[in-house]
Amino acid sequence: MKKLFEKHNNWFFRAGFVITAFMLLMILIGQFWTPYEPSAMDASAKGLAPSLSHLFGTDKFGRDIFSRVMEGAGSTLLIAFFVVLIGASAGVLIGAVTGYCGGIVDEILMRICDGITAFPSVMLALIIIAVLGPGKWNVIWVLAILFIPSFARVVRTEFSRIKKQNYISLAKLQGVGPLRIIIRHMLPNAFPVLLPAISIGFNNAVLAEASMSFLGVGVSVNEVSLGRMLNDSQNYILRGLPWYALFVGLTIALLILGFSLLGEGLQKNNEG
Amino acid sequence: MAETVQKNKILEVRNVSTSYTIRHSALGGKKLQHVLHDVSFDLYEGEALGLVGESGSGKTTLARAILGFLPSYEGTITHYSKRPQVIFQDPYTALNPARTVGWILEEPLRVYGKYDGAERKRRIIDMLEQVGLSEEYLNRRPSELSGGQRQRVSIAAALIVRPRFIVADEPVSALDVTIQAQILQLLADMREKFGLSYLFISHDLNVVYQLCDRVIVMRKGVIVEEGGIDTIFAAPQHPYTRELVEASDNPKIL
Ligand SMILES: Nc1ncnc2c1ncn2[C@@H]1O[C@H](COP(=O)(O)OP(=O)(O)O)[C@@H](O)[C@H]1O
Ligand SMILES: [Mg+2]
Repeated sequence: MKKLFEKHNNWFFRAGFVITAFMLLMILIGQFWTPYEPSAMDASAKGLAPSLSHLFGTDKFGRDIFSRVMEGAGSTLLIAFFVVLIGASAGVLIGAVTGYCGGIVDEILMRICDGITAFPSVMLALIIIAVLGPGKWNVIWVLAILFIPSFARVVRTEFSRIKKQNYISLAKLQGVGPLRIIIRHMLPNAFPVLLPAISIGFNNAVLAEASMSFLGVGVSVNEVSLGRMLNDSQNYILRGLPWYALFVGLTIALLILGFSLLGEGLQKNNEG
Repeated sequence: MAETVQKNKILEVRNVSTSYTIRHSALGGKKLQHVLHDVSFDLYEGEALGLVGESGSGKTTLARAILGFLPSYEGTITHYSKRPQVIFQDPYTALNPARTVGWILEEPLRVYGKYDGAERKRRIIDMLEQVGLSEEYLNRRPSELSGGQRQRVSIAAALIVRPRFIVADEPVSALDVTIQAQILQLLADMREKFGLSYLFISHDLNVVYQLCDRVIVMRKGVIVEEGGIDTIFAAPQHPYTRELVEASDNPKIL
């Protein structure tokens, strides 16, 4: 951690780190404690404006929006986490193998990735969800698959560069096997491009979840998520409850701002 | 120097030819570029054989063929020793930037698999001291080392598996003159201590003179002259060798 800070000594990284750390902390707290029970309705507190007792106000059922945002952001982040975890793992695997082997293996796998990328991704997501039905895990799988090519491409480019370095020839000469070369010798050298890609991946996953749930093809109606809440809140904007949409939107904006600043900051050092 | 040359062969290169295919147009037009042409020579146990030739003459390609890095070539290359090792020209790409010196030196021993952790550590520290470094360097990364220090680590990494034959491809060309002399001295010391044979590649006859017993001169992938180092300097036969000798500006012969 200290090393990361020394290496990425720029304001993008610092600002991204602070914002992301703050958001993660709030989300983490939200898993154990929220000011109010997120789904508890309170007939005496319907549609309240933001105040000290209800920081983000309440919705028309009297539910505390701040508590709901804490919970919803947690579930959005969880979705993003699994999307990135699955997408990056598969992407790294494919990118590493294709970059290391080159030749025909490379051709085939990268053409498949091109195929996935060629579809407009939102369209693809809409179609798949229309078939599978909405739900947290369906969203995760769809997005994860859509995310694989971008990770695969980044890692592949890096691996085919690293493969030509003398220290890899040396490792082969020393009798190190291909699997060990890929994992122990090459992968650590791909981290400088992988970390920003992961950070941007989180950014895109949060956005994608929000867009899908907003369009009604994301998580199911009885699940919470930022996108789902954004969808809910749009009905209130013109009915005197503008802050609902505002605060949900702000939370999404802060989350992706944090991730994209982190990604930008992590990338800065690779160039200079 | 001739006494150190023994009869046992350590490497035999016979009629090696190779070419690179270069794509010279976007439409896939291909061209063969001949890089090595019918190269043959022997290298004997304990010998330091110099390979000189101007940049682009095919020295690195020959080294890669000998080390098994070249996908294909004609002719035969026979090793009479196990685990030949290499020291590269560029000390910046020869060491894994993501790893520490200790890890880099331990890796060949781990893969070799015959020693436990304590024994590996003992050998690493011993080898670091042999090449003029110390235990303190174990946790350093290559980026924290100077060019000369990196080359010392490269030498340690090559020697740690106790090879009998080392290919050194321009190991001092990227270094300052004073550091060059130190590294050449180290290579000479290590040769003595471990009874090594070298194929020592350089574009500079002067550098070769300081370390080698015998030289082969290569021009455009063809060996044009071969002989004892003193003979080559005193009476170069081929015009190309004469050019190299003159370019080398060796005070000993002027
Ligand atoms: N991977 C490669 N692909 C195509 N041509 C190459 C490659 N490597 C070297 N060459 C060409 O082969 C020739 C010999 O190169 P090299 O063996 O590196 O010479 P040296 O080490 O003597 O400078 C040069 O003309 C170089 O351009
Ligand atoms: Mg060369």
